[in-house]
Formats: sequence, C-alpha cells, structure tokens
Amino acid sequence: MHVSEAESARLIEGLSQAVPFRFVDRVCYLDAARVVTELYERGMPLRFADVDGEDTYMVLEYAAQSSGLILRNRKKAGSRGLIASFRGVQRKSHGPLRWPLRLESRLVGERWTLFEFDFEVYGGAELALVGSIGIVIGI
Amino acid sequence: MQRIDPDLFLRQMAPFRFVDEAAFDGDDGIIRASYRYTGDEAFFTGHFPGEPIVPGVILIESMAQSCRAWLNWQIGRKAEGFIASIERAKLTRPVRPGDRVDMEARPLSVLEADTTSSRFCRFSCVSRCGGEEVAKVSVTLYQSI
Repeated sequence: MHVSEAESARLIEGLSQAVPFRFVDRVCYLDAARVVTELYERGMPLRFADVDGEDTYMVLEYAAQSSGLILRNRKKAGSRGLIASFRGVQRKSHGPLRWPLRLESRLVGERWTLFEFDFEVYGGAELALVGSIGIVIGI
Repeated sequence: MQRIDPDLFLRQMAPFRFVDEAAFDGDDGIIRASYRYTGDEAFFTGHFPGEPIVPGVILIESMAQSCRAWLNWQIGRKAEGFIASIERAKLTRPVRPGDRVDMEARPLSVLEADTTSSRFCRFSCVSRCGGEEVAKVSVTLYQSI
C-alpha cells in the first residue's frame, strides 16, 4: 500500500540503524513482498559518506535497509536483520549518482530465516544499480 | 613482497579509508591487506546503537579498496574508479570494534575497455578475523587510466 508521510517517518524511526548510518529518507510503498523508497541526500555529518563520491557501498546499504522494512513484522522484538549475501550487483551508470535515488525491492525467496530480494535503484530517471541481496533475521 | 602505500595509491581518505597496510606478493600473485576497526569509526554510532557491528557493506568496501590500491599501484597514481559489479558476496560472521581484518585478494582478469582510457579488473577476495573467514567477495572494479 502507499505510505503516508507520517507512516513513512514512523517506519524509518523503527529501523535498527541510526544516524549516521541510516539510508532511507522516505518510504513510498510497502506491502508484504514489495517496497519502494527514496533517498534524498548524502554527506556528513548526517550520513557516513565517501569523500570520493563513489557511493556504491551506500546504495548497497540503502537496498538492505529498504528491503529489511518488508521483514519488520517477522523479526523477534529487539532482533535485527543482517546482510548475508549479495549476488549479481551491477552498476549501470558510470558517472556520479544522480540524486535523489529511488529504489524498488521485491521479496523473491525465503528459507528458514534467510530472505532474498531483487532490487533496482534509479538515480533520476536513470537505472543506476541492480542486484540481489540476502538478509538473515533473528526470529 | 612489495609494499603498497595506501597514502600514495588510494583516493579514499579517513574516515572512509579501510586499509591500514597493503602489499603484493609477486610469487603467488596475491594482494594482502589489513585494517583494524578501532571502535572510533563514526558508523558504529548508528550500526547498531548500543551494539556496534561493522556493516557488511564496509567489509566489502574494504576489500575493494585493497584491490583498488593494487590497481593504482600498477599505474603509479591514484586513478578514479568504482565498483562495477559484485558477482557474489558472502558475509559469514560479525566483525566488532577492536577486531583486525586480514584480507587476501587475487586479481583474476583484466579487461581493457573499448577505449584505452579505462579498464575493468575482476578480483576474488576473502577477509578473515583471527584466522576465521568473515566475508568473501567476487568483485569487478572499473579504473580510469
């Protein structure tokens, strides 16, 4: 379902990660298998960022935190999700990322406590990065 | 063993440099590097509050920086570049403040791009902490030359 600004703020506040390592600014859509989020800006001191502006690590963490929102009701209270794997990650644009970023992630598989997602990240209208991520949670 | 000075061959600087020392062993063709997470790194505040763990993406970045230092050492300067792809990465054990991570990376292939001004290089990397594997990645880096 589409997410209001107030609900988005509540969801982001509920993330396990905190400043300066929180990489979601707006949750636009969220259901049991799909999430769409936006990331508006980078840069210290609010965000732990590479001075070189390469930012691939940040996009990967953005994908992890966004995908983790789908699992928020499956975790035991106080437990966290951790990245277990990445697969098929490809940077599609060779220049600096165009901000803001928009991400869509879909739950494509689950086995015990391991959940797999396919994600796409757009910078402006341009596809910036695609890949798959595995997240393991404590339940 | 030929030492690679991170100050000379990495564009990334503190607080975003995750290589303390690096060297290339020409006999076995392996890049060896290490980094100790002191606990003062800014990201520990947020990952996670009250229970700091090195983010998995930082472990991947650290291995990529080790590879990038070698790539730049080959051409004798700090070149621009980025992670072009991650074929596969596995994160198997949490790393905590105070831990020293030892990395080994093997260059697998170098592919010149369609112009002579850039190239791609694929690496296979593994990170260990106290001898135990904590992460491994197969990564391709783009380098502007």
